Amino acid sequence: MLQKLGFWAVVAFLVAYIGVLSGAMFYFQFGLGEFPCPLCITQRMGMMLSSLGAVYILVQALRGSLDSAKFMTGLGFAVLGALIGASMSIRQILLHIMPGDPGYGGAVLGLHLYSWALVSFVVVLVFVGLLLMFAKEFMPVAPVAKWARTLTWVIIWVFVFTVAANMVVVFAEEGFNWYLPDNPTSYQLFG
Amino acid sequence: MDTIIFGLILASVLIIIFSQKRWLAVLSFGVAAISSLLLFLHHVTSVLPLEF
Repeated sequence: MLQKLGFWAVVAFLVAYIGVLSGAMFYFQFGLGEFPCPLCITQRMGMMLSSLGAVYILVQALRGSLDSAKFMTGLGFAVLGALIGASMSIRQILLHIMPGDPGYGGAVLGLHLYSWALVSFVVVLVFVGLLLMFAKEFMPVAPVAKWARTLTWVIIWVFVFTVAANMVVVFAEEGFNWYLPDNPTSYQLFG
Repeated sequence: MDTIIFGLILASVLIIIFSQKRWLAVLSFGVAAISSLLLFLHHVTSVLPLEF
C-alpha cells in the first residue's frame, strides 16, 4: 500500500512540474506576451533536470527493475536538479531584492515566477528528504492495472513533449545566437 | 546555447526511457546538468549591486 503511494507520489511530482513548465510558463509567455529572460530559462532547465529523477524512477518501476540503487539514483537526480535550479532562482531574486525594484515580469499571488520557482525547488528537496527517510516503506512499486500503467506512460511522454516544446520555443526566442539577451523583447528567429 | 542544452535534456530523458544502462542515464544527466551550470555561470557577470 505504502509502496503504491510512493509510486503515485513520484507521479504527482512529475505532473506538478509538467503543469508549471507547460501550463503556467506558456500562459505567461504566450498568453500575457512576456519574454522569458536568460535566468528564467535556466530555471526551467533546473526543473527539467529535477524531473529527470522522477522519470527515471517511474520508468524503472514500470519495467519492474527498480531496486534501491536505482531509486537512490533517481532521487539524486531530483536533488541535484533542485539545487542547481535553486541557485539560479536565488540569484534572480537577489538581483531584484532592492526596495523599489519592480522585479522581472508579472507576479502570481504577490510573488514573481522566480520566487515561486525557488519555492518549488525547496518543496522538491523536502519531498526527496521524506522519501529518503522512509525509503524502505515508500520504495515505488508500479501498479498492475493496465489503465494506471498506460496513464503513467502518457504522463512520461507529455513530459518529453514539454521538453521538446521548450526547446523549440527557446530556439525561436534565441534564433541563431549563442545566448539570449539580458532583457529579450522579440523572437530573434523571426527578426 | 540554450537550445543545445534543452536538446541535451531531451536526449537524457530519451536515454532514460529507452536505455537499461544506469551509467548511461547518469552520464547524460551529468552532461546536461554541467552544461546548465556553465550557462548559468555565463549569465552571472557581476557582483550583486546591493547597497542597503
